[in-house]
Amino acid sequence: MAKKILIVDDEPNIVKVLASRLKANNYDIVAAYDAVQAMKKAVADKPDLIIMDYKMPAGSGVTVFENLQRIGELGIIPVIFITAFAAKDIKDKVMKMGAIDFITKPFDPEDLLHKVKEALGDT
Amino acid sequence: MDSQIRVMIAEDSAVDAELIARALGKEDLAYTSKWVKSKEEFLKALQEFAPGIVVCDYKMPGFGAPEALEIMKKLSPHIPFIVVSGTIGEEVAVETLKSGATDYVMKDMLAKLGPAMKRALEEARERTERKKAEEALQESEKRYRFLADNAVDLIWTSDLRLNYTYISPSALRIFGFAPDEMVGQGVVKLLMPDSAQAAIKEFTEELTMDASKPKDRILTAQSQYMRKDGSTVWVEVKMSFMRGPDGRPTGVLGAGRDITERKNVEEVLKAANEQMKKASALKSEFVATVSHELRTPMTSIRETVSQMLDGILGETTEDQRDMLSMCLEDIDRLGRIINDLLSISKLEGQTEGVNKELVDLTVVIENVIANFHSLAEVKGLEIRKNISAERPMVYADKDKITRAFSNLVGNALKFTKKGHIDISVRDKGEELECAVSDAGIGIAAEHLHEVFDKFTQFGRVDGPGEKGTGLGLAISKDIVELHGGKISVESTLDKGSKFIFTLPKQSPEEALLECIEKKIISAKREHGEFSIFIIRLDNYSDLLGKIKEVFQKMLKVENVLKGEAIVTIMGKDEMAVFVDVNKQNAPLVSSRIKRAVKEVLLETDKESEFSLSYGYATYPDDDGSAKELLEKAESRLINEKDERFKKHIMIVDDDAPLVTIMKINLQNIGYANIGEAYDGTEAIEKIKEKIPDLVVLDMKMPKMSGYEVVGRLKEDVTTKDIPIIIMSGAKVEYEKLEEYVAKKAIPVMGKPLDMDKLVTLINYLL
Repeated sequence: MAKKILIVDDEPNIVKVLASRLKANNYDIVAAYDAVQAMKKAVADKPDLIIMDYKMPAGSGVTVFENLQRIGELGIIPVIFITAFAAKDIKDKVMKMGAIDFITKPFDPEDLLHKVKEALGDT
Repeated sequence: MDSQIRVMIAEDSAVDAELIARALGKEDLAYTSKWVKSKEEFLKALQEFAPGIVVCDYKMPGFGAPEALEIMKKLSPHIPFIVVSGTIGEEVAVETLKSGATDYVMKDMLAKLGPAMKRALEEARERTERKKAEEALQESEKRYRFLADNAVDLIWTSDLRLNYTYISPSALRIFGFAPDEMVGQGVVKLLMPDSAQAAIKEFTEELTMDASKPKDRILTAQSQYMRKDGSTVWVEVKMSFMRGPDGRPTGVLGAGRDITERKNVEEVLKAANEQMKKASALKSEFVATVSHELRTPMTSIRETVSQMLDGILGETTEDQRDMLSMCLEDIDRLGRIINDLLSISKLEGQTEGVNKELVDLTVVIENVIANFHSLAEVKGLEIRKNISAERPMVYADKDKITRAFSNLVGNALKFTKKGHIDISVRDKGEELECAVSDAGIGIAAEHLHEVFDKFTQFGRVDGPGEKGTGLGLAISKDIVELHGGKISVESTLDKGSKFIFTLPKQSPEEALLECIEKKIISAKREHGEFSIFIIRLDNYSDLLGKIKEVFQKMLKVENVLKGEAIVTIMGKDEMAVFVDVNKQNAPLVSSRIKRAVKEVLLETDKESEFSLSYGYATYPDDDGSAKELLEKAESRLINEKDERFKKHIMIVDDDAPLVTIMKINLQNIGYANIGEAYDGTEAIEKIKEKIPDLVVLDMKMPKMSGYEVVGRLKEDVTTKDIPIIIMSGAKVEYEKLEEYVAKKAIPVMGKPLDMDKLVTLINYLL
């Protein structure tokens, strides 16, 4: 069965291109456009991986991440953060928090797919 | 001046005059005399002879002492006047003295004349000197008063409650008050509330300090005063105590200057500086935000193009793919431009920290060559390195220096078709000269002056590799200049280009000093008082692996104490410097650091030869430049071992052979100062007599037990803080101790004696 990935970004275009790329590589996609939706979808769809924007309106990706950690079964879902900020301290911060990986925008598709596979243990 | 005394003798009788002269001759007095017989002669001689003393017969025909005295009082009141008489009675004599004569002598007792004259002259001399001194004093007071009264600056005196007792007329200009309006008023009443509080506090402190340790120093204060018309004025005042004969302060003498203008300029500068900082931060934030906002749409564009190229979105023709590839390349170039702009903004706004460390340029260059290896191979080019500098080390930001090299090497590869690219590092004494040269297309002479400008590109060529952003050289230039170096270019068209930049050589010590200076200057500005610590480790080769841990522990101490800045240099001499914001912390910090270091070091080999020294300086008690402060701290470096071995250790045990064994063992490793006691009573006596730095205490002893000794020591303020090590063959009954110390607060050594453990414990506690 195809693995399910939840994409969280307040930019619909980003969600769309990510979904397109990942669908082409045989992943099932669920999308959310803000923090509240992200929590709902995470609970309802139980994705195998979450790719989430670092900065969003209505609660940042970090808040979502922390909330997920509090719910036992959701806390184990690997999370890849994605951001247009190229600051190293953001990467250090989320990796320290327990994110499985980090991607900067614009991303190299090969790099994205490699990181997704690694996060899902598909290599 | 004439050393001879000029004596005028007024006498009508030639015989008596001769007798008077003879009487004078008997004394050892150097004198010349003038004999006058009448009032006319008296007056004339007074003018011409100018006597220093007058001897006058009481009664002469038509003249006499009373009339002569009247004349003298009018003309020369300061000249001593001695009356000589054959007939004078007691009453007349008293009358004569009352009317101004200095002395009188009976003619039948002329022997007394000499001594009388001497006395009179002596008194006259004293009188004159006193008068001169008084005149001089008056003159100097007049002069100072003149200076004060005419000074542009403010001059004032006050009593010890800071009420003005004098203030110069300049007060009118500075405060708008006439001096008369201010004398008697309190200084504090004129001050603005903030300044008043500070002034009272400082003055009270100074007065208190002076009472215990008088010190003539000048107190400087900048305060804001309220003028008569309600406006404010800043005055810088320098003052010191006026003291009475007993040395105690009786008042305050002050001088003040209107510094309102200077203050205003300072305020404006400060505001401008703030503004600039804000603007710079805003600019950086702006650039960061813009970059973020640009990257997001770029991501969807790039990904769409990329997916079309990958065929995810359906079949494409070759022409379409061609154009899409070009699109992708330019999107990536746009991305690089954004990143470069962000870099430039950070470099020029200096908003990004410069992480300086000791950098080996050989390593940097090898990394750069490795990164460009595949690209060079594709183009069939070789990158060679030639490092002739013996010690190619700089104190620099490694990432940034790597970037500077990469930009130059990247350019060289781009513009070279055939041949070599050479990277070299040469020692030029004060600095290292780095160069990247190629055999490429070169730059025309007319363009050379603008190669480091932003967005200038020359001789663009097609071929493998990324297209440039036009910012690479500008970034390299910023990086080099940030490190205090210079960058330049030499080029011949069609032959090649050579980019040369210098990096100042800096010893770790110099680098340390630079960092510390910055911190000290900022601490001076922001805190006003702080302390600096130097910790030095020598002969540490045995514990090389532990050094990092040692420094980490030190940093922890500093964090706990809210230290301001920590700089460590891991070079030839391991050394750490701390700047702590609170100068009162100095002794506390050094003792904690000492303990932290020992915790690590004592776990290692005891035979280790390492030695630890520490020293500190406090500001503003130790004033001076950053360098002077450091030198002060360094000059006070105390070797911990030397200090430790001087400590006085008291061993208390009824087992005499055991005491001897401990003593010999401790002496063998350097502890020279060891006392011994064989029962509790003796221990207490000896401890009170000479307070030791540590007590090794047996629990079971005759006369007084160890428990009681602990109790006695803990109850006395002078001994309660002495560290104790309990030696006990039996289980320690802590309940007996808990009245005095917290649970298990005293370390315990079992018996039989483990000397190594005891030494470790002693080393730690001292």
